[in-house]
Amino acid sequence: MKFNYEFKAEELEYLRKLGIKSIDNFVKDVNDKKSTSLLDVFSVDLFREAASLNKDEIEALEDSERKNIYLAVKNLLNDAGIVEPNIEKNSIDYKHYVLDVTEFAVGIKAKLSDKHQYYESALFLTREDYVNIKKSENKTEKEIMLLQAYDELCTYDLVPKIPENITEIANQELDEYLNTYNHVFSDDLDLKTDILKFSELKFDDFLIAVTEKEEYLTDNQKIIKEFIEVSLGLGDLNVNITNTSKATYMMKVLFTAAAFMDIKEGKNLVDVYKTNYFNVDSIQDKNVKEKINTLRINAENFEKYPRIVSKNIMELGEGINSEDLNKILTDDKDEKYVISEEIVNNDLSILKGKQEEIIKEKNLITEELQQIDEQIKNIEELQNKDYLSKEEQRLLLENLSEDYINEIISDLKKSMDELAVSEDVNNIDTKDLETEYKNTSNIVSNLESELSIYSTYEDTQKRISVLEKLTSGTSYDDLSNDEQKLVNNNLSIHEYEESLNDQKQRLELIAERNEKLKKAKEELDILKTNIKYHYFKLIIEILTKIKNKEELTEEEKKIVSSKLDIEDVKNQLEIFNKKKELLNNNLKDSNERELTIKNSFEFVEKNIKNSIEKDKQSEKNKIDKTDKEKIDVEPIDEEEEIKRVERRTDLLEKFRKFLVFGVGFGTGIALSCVPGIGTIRMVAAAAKLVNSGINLWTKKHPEGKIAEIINATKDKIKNKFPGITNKLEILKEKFKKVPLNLFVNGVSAGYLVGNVVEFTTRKTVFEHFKPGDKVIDATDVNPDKVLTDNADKVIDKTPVAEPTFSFQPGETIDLSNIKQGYVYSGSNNPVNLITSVGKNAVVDRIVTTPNGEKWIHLLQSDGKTYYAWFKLSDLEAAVEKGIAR
Amino acid sequence: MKLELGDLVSLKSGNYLVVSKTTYDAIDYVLTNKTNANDIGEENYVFKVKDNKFVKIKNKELLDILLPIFTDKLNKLVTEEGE
Repeated sequence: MKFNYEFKAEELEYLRKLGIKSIDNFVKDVNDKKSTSLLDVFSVDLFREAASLNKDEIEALEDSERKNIYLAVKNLLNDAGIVEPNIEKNSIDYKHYVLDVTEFAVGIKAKLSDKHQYYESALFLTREDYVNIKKSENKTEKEIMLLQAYDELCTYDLVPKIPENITEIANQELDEYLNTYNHVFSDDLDLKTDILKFSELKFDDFLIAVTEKEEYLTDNQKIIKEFIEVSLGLGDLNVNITNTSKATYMMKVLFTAAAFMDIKEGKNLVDVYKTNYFNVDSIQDKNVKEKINTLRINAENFEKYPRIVSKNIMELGEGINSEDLNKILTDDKDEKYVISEEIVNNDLSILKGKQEEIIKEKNLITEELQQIDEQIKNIEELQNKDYLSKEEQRLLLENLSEDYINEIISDLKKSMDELAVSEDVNNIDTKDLETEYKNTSNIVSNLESELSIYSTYEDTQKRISVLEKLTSGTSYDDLSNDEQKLVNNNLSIHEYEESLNDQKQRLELIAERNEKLKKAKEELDILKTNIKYHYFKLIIEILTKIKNKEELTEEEKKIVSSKLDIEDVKNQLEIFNKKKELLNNNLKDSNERELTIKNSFEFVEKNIKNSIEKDKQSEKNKIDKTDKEKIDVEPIDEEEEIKRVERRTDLLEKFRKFLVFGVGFGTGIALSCVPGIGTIRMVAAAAKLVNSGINLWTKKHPEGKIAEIINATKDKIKNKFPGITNKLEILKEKFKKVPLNLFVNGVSAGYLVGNVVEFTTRKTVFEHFKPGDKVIDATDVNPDKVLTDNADKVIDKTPVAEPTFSFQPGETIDLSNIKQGYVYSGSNNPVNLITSVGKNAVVDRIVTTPNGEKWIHLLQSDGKTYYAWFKLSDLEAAVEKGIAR
Repeated sequence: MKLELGDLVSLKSGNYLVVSKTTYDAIDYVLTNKTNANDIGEENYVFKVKDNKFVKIKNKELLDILLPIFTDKLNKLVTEEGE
């Protein structure tokens, strides 16, 4: 591999600052000149290069400095949880890994540049906005930064490239989607009939089917998934690595869903879609309009989330100021409880189910392992035996395949040919052969035994030679050492002569016995060969019987097993050992999964659930305490004596102005439990006072608990709603993080939540970065009453007027009779309005929330100051009933 | 004690500006803004007025009844004095 990247001193220093200790040794040698900007030297490519090498490849590098840096980067990536998968480098998963690394590096760069929000905004930039900003001649500084961030993300394929001839491209793409629509609508495709039988067809089911993990899919969603992947031929979404192809895929899925819905209604709307997709307002049919709106909203989402949000960049975002981030995430009290209880209980139940599954799985594996161990033990014993037990024979015989038997037969025939036996061998009885073999074996054995008591023929010869020397006058002392060992000392010549005669006789005897032994052995070899031949013949007969599934005699079983086992046993042993290894790996894997699940379970149960329970208990205690304070009972500690009364009309006037003009929204009033039950908050007041949100939050949440709740939220995002349903959740979290500084400067969470909801429907992030917007805090409002209830109460008192409103921006409407509204679109928490400023309210805009509800935002009569949000349907009803006019 | 809108009532716990008042079940209640030095504050409380004493109302049910009443009155405060 060729390395092109040149390291700079500043960059080494930067990496050191990141805490990469392994490069300390050489960065200290680097010239300590001050960097103009670390950002200038930071390279995403360095991370990509380091990531693309495995540890061995890095270790093999000759350039030690480069090696150290790469290892350091690798460690940093590991610490960040980005671990190189042990798979082919050209596989899809590996490419995902490289993208993760890239996002991580871009995230660091963004952090370093202190322009994190532009990178995050760039991830969500719509085509339309991109083109508009690009064409604009007077770009603001923010717009320039945004474009720069976008272009950089483009270079690494983190966002899709946006061509400037967007309209033309969009039309071409639409044609492609409509082809899919027509294909589904008109052609006869597998599973189509099955899907049409579903009692209900929803876009979400189609989207979930292709994005969610299979284990979470319903049966219907599984059928849809198969239809899209196989019948329609779109394949697996996860295989489409590029952002553009993923977005196209999702659009085809949406148009597939639309086709199914239209088939059910019996109308092919391809022409309507073609004409009106980019001009929804001109559509008269409400259903069609709604359908196209859904398609468009989703299309925008896919465009924004080509890779389901760049998680690593987000995670880096968390790291910037986790404390403040925590505050935002937990500021919504209602959401906290919903998330905590729902998620925790659900997660616990899922984890419990998984635990049970794993225990079952482990039991099965263990049982199988025991069986295999037993078989292995049996087979190992077989290896050392000539004859086998009945059970052992059965094991062997049952394990012989037909092919194997044929192979053996063929080998045996070949061996028989090689044996070269006499022609009459077939006439000899096997048993006679065996008897003769046994007798001859005995003869051999006896001769060997007899010969073993004598010296060898050669030693006897040597001894005779020495004795001849001694009997011919040589002195014992003149013999060599070796010769002396062969004879006794201090004997007379006569004694030596006797000994010489004995040895000569013995030599004859040894020669004779040796000759006999040689002959017996030769005979034994012939018998062996003949017996072998007989056995082979018998074995072939027996194997043929086995092949034909005929019953063997006990004798035959003995014969076959004693002669055939070795190879087979070895094969069997190998197979069983491999199987055992596999099962052990499975068991290890199951154990690890079990441990992970156990840890997760314990964490969720002990930490999060307990925390929630304590929290609930604490809330309950507060309420119980309050309940005890009956209306008529005067708690002594809350009763205070009036010391003095002073007339302060100036303060009253300040208060009045504050209600009307001091803040943006038409001020609401709501009961707050913070800092103690009994406090009434003018909703806007909190926003006016800088940091009040944070102060209140601090009182509300003791230290330590926040992290647990954050984890619960993260778990929810990561585990509970993966896939398409996850997107809005991720976005919501993401959006909460981005405008962190705005929050700190006094912007309330309520407004941000409102923007999130609005953003998911229509606007870009960028439009919402408006520091200084007047906002209110919606976190402590009382959700007990809703606008519709209120409207019903008012209806009898108000004369009916002609409804003539179209709710177009700029139109004025009198809302002074509507007593409750909302501080953001999609809110569940109405507030009591200072309705007098709702007179001649001006329609600002209408948005659609993720659940399909339309919300309308109104300004006060000056057309600038915010008033409130309402559900459009409620407002329409109010107009019809004459409550608003 | 007879209190009017704009009266700043000094208690041991602080100063409270009467911004609205009402009578419910024959008992007088006031909505007050807890002032901060010479400016309006962020906290508001409802008190029952009993002789020369203020009793802070903490019961949620009662507050839920009183709040819409006070909201209406605040609307009037804005309209009458603002126009």
